[in-house]
Amino acid sequence: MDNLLWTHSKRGGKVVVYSIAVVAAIWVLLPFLWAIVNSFKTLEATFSAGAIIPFLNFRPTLDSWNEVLSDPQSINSLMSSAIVAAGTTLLVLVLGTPAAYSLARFEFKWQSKDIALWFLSQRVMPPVVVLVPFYILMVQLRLIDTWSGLILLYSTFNLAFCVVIMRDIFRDVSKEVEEAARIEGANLWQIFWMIALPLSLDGLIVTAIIVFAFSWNEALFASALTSQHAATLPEFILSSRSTQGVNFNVAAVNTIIAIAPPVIMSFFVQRYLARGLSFGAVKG
Amino acid sequence: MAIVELEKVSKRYGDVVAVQDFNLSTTDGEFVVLVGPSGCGKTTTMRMIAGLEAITAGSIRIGGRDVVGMIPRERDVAMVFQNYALFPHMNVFGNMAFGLRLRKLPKKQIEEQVQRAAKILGIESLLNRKPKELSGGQRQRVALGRAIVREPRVFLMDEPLSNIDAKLRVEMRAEIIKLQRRLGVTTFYVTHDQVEALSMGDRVVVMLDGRVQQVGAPKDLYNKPANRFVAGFIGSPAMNFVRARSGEDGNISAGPDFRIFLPESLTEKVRRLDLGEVWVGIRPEHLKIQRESGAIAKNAINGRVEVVEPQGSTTIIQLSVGGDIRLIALINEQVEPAPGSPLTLSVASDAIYLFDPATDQSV
Amino acid sequence: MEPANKAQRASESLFKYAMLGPAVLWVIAFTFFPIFSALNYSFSNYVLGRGITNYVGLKNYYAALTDPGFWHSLLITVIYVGVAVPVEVCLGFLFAWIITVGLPGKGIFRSVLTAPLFTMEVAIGYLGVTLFTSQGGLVSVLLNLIHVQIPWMSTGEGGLAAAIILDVWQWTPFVFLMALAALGSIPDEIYDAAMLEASSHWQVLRHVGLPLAWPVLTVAILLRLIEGLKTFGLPFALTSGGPGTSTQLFSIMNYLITIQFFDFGRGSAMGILYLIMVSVIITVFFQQMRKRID
Repeated sequence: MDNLLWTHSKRGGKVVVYSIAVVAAIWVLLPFLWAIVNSFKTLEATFSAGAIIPFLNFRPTLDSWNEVLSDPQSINSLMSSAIVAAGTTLLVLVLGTPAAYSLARFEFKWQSKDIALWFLSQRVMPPVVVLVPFYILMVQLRLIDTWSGLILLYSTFNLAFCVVIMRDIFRDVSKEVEEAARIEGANLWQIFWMIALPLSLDGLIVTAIIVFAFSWNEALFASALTSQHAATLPEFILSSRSTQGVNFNVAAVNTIIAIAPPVIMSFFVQRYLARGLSFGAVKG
Repeated sequence: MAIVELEKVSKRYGDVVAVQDFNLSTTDGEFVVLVGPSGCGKTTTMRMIAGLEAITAGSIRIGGRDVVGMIPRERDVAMVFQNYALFPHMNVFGNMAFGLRLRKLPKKQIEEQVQRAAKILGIESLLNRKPKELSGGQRQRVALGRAIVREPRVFLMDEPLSNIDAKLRVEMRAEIIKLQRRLGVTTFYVTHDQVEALSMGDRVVVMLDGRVQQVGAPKDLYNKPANRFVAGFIGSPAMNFVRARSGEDGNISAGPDFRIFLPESLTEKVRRLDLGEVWVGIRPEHLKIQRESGAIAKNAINGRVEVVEPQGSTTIIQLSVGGDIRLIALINEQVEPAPGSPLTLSVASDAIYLFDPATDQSV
Repeated sequence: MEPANKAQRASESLFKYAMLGPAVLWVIAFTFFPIFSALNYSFSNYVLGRGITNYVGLKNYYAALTDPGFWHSLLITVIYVGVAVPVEVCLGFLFAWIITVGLPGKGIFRSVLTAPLFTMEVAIGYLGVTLFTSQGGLVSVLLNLIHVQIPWMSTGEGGLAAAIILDVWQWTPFVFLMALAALGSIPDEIYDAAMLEASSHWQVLRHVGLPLAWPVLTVAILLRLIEGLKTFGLPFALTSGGPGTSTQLFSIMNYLITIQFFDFGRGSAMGILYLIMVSVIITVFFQQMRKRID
């Protein structure tokens, strides 16, 4: 269908499509560019009209960048975000992938579809409702302001994605290939580890990306459960509220720092995302 | 190499009976073909031998050992799937070595065995390639290679040639037969194509609706079909069936244009079974054109030509007899009777098959 | 493959439960407890520093249900989700279709359009302030060029609109990717068959793309709904619920009550009520969707 556009639109039609695409691209890029521009502004410049193009409308300054980069906390929180996201992703994959395989291949008292849905329903819970109980739990486990605490928490929330996505991916692995492995002498675990898993690498990458993204993004629990040592970026950004209100330029710098790694990552992985993201809806 | 014995094997899914009372005892190194229309139970039976399906009743013995309780690995069988089922993420060598690696054989031995098997099948040059880089025929060979490398006791092949184009299929058929004869491993082969079955099997098992219809050497199935299904299934084009009435003095007729005189033996049986009506079976290749000049044969069938299909050195003629009977004749020469023209066919008495209309069994 | 005897059946059982077990146990452990705890608080009177002083039955629930602020926040949330999600779904699907039909440079476009998904809500929220502020915000400046002035940050409606726009910006890629996957999984032959009949690719979209991608879109809507009803970071960073309480989504309101006023009792009760409502909405919605598929 790559040539649908060529065969099926009049001249005007193609222009329409191109314009939509270009507008979409601009729409997406604008906030990024604005963040970059803002990071070089002083506070007054941020709020004065017409200060758009650096060097032309205003004098750019590296003040905000200095302020942020000289604050060790900013690098710390970047690291924290990375560690927590990576740890969560790992834990989720380790717990969720075998579960997804089990649901894909075997029968249980309840329909495997329902079990998968049950996992998904965990996400319906508004986090605010369980904020306090989790806070108290973390206090009791002495996991406040630690990476492990956040990792444990985020894993619970994100397990659903892994189970739902991987279950669908595993169902697509050819049963015949698994049977061939069985005839060759593989036991159940070997079939999972040596056949099903390697053939589902795509799905694993997709899951990893989604879990990483959600974990990276999480603000509510991060701000409530961490302060100094394990504070992740969202908390750090929120805390750039000082007594004078928010320092937006600093926030802009933080934004860029926060956005850059995943966005760069997304350029490499968007190919996998498109492939794996149907959550089982294609087959139902 | 082993003898496979199936005794009263049945498979039921809830209320549905997939296989009923399958009995067979192979000889060592025999090539057994299971053939029948889809849904007849042939694949299910083979999967039960492999251990991929549980048996509802009966027993299976391989090499004298009861295998019902064993998982596939313990049964030491190898299987070639219709869609090859090659491991897509491994190269050819990996595919063939998989079973050996699982058995923790030393690397050198694995290397040797794989090379040997690859040589037999002519795929040594493909060992580093992945399945998706191979053609259908090559993939089939790799699947065969994977099966033979372990030197198992039994080969199971589930319609391995169905996905290959016609020309290659004939070649591969011959190769599989040669391979099997060379290795001498007892083999079960499932197909829905009766031509394939007849050309490959030492013995052929015809199945329908889960039951064995007949077991025998190919020529026995052709010459002495046990019932109307086998008679109609084996042989191409299919046997003609005409419903006829038996008269006195050993003839049967279906209208004035269709009168057959039976040999003594058949007449006896018809009388003994007291059959008023019978199914008459005549193979298209046994119908001969009655020439004007020749002696008039006893069994003359007068009809009108409907369709003529030249087949190269032979001709298929569709004949309509007496309005409601249609016969297909396979004439062993190039003829071109005009459609609509009258034509008389004859058939030798010993080429006539009779079937009891109540039981469809051959008489 | 079926187990052939009792021993095999047992080992298969062991395997499947051992694989599934850890995940299930984990979820049960980490969710049942907090819910019970929240329930516990909802029936109690919590005082900062002293903990639970006494149990007050349904008083917290009653207070929540009669609190206009509670209902107001629900309204705001409904508006937010009710506008943002459909827009995201439509735009996401549209973009996916454009890429599918053969836009040149689709690789780049796909990367670019995916980027917002990975941004931090909080960061975008703050960025939004600088974008929408009437003094020098990019949006205001651009609108000025066509002599339009919209009070984004100074009114509730403006703030809500700005939040919705940002939400759309961030989450459209999510639907975009799912729709892309769905449209990509339609076999080429079906597109070919449609191409023979259709006069423009929009027709193909209407008769082939949309119906066949609908199941996936349903899931996308469902997921966005679930996440949207919980949304916190973006609007909080943008407006903190203000001015006043005019842009207080439920999550913000509950956050303020629980974390800033430490009224765990009322906060938990509201949370439970919200949970019930959200669950009902989602279940009803889900079933409606399933019916339409079948």
